[in-house]
Amino acid sequence: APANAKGGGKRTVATYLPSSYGDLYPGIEMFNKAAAERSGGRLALDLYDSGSLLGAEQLLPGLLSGVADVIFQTSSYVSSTYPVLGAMELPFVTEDYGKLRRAIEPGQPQFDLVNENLARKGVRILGGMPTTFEYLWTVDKPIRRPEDVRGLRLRVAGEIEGETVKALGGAPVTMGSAEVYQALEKNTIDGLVSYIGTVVSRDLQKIVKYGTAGHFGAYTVDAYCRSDWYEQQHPAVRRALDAAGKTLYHEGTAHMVKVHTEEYLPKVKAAGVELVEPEGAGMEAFRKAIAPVHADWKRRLGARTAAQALESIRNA
Amino acid sequence: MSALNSLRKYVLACALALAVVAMAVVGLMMLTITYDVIVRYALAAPTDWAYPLNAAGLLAATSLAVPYFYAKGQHISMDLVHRALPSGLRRAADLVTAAATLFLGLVLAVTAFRSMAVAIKGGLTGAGTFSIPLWVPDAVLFTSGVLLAVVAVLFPPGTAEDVAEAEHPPGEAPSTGEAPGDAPATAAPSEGAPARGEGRAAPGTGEGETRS
Amino acid sequence: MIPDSGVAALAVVLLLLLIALRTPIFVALAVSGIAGLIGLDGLSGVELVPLSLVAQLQNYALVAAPLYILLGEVLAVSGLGRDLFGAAYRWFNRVPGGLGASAVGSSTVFGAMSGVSISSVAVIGRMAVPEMLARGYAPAFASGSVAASGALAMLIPPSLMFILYSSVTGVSIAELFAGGLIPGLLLAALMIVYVVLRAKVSPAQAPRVDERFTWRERLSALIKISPALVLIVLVLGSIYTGFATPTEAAAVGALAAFAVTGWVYRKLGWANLRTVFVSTAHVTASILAIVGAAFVFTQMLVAARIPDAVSTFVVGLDISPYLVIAAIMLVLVLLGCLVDAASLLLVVTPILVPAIEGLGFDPLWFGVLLVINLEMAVITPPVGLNLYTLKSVVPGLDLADIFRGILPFLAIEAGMLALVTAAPALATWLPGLIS
Ligand code: NA
Ligand code: NA
Repeated sequence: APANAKGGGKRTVATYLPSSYGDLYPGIEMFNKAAAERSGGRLALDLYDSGSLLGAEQLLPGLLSGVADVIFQTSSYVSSTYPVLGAMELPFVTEDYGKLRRAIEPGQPQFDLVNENLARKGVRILGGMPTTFEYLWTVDKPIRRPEDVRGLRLRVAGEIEGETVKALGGAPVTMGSAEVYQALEKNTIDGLVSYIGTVVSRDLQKIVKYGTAGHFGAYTVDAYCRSDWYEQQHPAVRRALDAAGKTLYHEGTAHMVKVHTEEYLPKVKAAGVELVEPEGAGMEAFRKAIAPVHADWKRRLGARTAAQALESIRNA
Repeated sequence: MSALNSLRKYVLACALALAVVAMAVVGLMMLTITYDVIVRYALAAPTDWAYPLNAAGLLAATSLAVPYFYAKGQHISMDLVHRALPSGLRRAADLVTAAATLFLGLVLAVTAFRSMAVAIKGGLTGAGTFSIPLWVPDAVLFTSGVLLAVVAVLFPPGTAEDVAEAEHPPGEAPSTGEAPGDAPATAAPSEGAPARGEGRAAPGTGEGETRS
Repeated sequence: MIPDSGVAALAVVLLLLLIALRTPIFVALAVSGIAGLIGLDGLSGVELVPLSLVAQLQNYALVAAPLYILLGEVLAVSGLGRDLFGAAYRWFNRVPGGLGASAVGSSTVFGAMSGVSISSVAVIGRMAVPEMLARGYAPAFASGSVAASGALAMLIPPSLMFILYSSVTGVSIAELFAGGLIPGLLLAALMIVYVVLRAKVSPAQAPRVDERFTWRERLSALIKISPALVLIVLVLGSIYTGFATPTEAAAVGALAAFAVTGWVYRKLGWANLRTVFVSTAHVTASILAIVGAAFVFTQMLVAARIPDAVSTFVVGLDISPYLVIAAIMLVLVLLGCLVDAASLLLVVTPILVPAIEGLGFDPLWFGVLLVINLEMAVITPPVGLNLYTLKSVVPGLDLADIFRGILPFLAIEAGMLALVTAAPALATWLPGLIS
């Protein structure tokens, strides 16, 4: 690891997120600043962003082999490995963003459940930012009912998103994010499932015409470290890391939500994207259609833990 | 001598077998991607396996073929300085190359093995509805690393031609999968052109046209 | 304790030393990268090696690389190259230097199907050069036009170099392909103009040929190369209509090339199939091994924060950004004399692009400039892959003649470099149009 062997408490931090993600990146900076301040000089974080040290797929293996000490990772990349993270990603797990946001606060039951689960794998979550809901974005026609998804090719980035598209009768397509704009423009794909940050950071509002607003999933963007590494740290460093995790959750999330509501959403609307908001029976139909996604996830995670996770979100 | 040469023969056959797998992978990449494009276009039913399998296929197509072409002395290299050296120094340079390649093979084998162990222990898997366990690419790299270390020892620069000559008396065409690029490569050095690699420049294109 | 930048500098020295000792480039890059990582962080640094290799060699954009190579290898056994040259000659035979112009013209069309310049040089050179020599062309003149125009395959889409550039920077492949088209065609046109003028001024270089063709013969030659046009339309058409992404278009194109070679040319016997797959595996392994190893090397530079330092330094310079670009281009031309194109691109891109963006330039435009630069790299001695490729397919040529013949074309390439620097729209207008 680039900084491991160096003195002065320097730690290597890696993320694939580039600084151009104006919604998420400030949270990472807040984490690093808080960690440095709270440790009283015992901790200096050396950040490698934009995948310059570890790409999205290499962050977790890189953490486990000691290349990085702390990573910031989007849950969709790791929830196939750690299904417990999928609880926060499930479509329609709640329709109240405030509830989803409260559920994962450090110290709340859902957060502790995740950490209990990850501890068995040698990983610790320090804190995270739950993103606003994912929408279905399309180019040619709006999606008002689940039937409208049938036969559509929608770009997805993770397992639960992919299963959601399948459950709605569409076809999930995987492709590199650099190819999405062109693929939408040339109708290689018909749309995508994503939160609003992906749309704005790739300028996709210029090409998609409709967004179906509902809870078609969500991610969390979390800070992880290895549990044995965490245990080896000086108590003051551990407290600093925990405090930084809370800062990420509280201030990072607040910043992200502010950017989404005050900047991204107006930008998307100003570009002429029509937001479709199914109501009542309409939304109920989507909720029903995605039921198999929940069932598959429960099977992967185990019924008992799954029930615990769902309950903690419901009660948040 | 004959024991060493028969060992070389078997190792080369192993390396060739992996290279043939690499060739098959490229062919399968072509077929599966085209299939995926067609079903996506015609039936709006793309596969979820073509993308992750072909990404992994790229790693396999590259790394599995590397040891074989090293043994044959056909990787890109620059012999600008090398060919100007006196023969004693030239042999020393070849030893450095063999040692560097052995080092690379060993590092690759050890680190890929450790990475594989981490991936298995952690149950790491790719993201997506069709995901490949992360130990699979590590296992491919491990295999290539081990074989690269072995060929680095058995085939220091220059040996490939000796073995080929020992197996096939001069005048008889070699029959075991030599890259057709060979011919121009060995024709060049007398004129002072880089021998290794540079000659690779005309892979296949040469023979194909003369045959057609 | 050596500072990180010192470790990186030592690693660069080790790299150059190994390359000089004729160590395969991929071994040299990987070993000096690993040595640097160990120097920076001790043994734990090497854990990054398999992660870097997996990250880079499972990069989906690169899936196109072996497939475009396969496409070129299939076409090489088909005999399509011969038809292309034949057709060009039937149209250019009356102009001065007609065979030379035909070589450039057929290389241009072949380059629109192949992503690798060496297969273009090998296929066209094998037919065109002996033909020119037989008609009394000066060897330098004959070989220069082929070696130089073969490089057009890198700039005219599809192009392996643009795929590699995209894999490092994330710039869209489709836009890079579009960006290379106009400079590529302009270069082809300039090369033809040069060949014709030179032949007119000094007929001794390229004696007039008296062969005449009827319009009927000319048209039937065009019909004969229709499979080439079908392939070009299929590959570029499927990219720009959205039938397939640029990565996928490589697979579709390769399969179509098999179909053309098998059904139209009847050249897919076992021997040719073996040739095609062995060469594809060979070129793929040679180039992508360098891709993976270069990534290990540049990760070491990243760990030592070299790109950040370069970017800070360049952005902080108190001179015109265009002067910076000119200086960068000059250094790249010099490096291009000594280093092969793929390694050069893979090592300098991660170092330079942050600086280029910091100066406010478009990375798409810089990618096109870089590839024009690499066009020069493959034809500059002492290390120029196209020159030795030509020598290996036409062994009777003298290397000194090849080196001499390439000089005027280097001047043309340098002119194009200046032109695209002065008028970025040449590279960015078409990509802007398609997106
Ligand atoms: Na090309
Ligand atoms: Na050169």
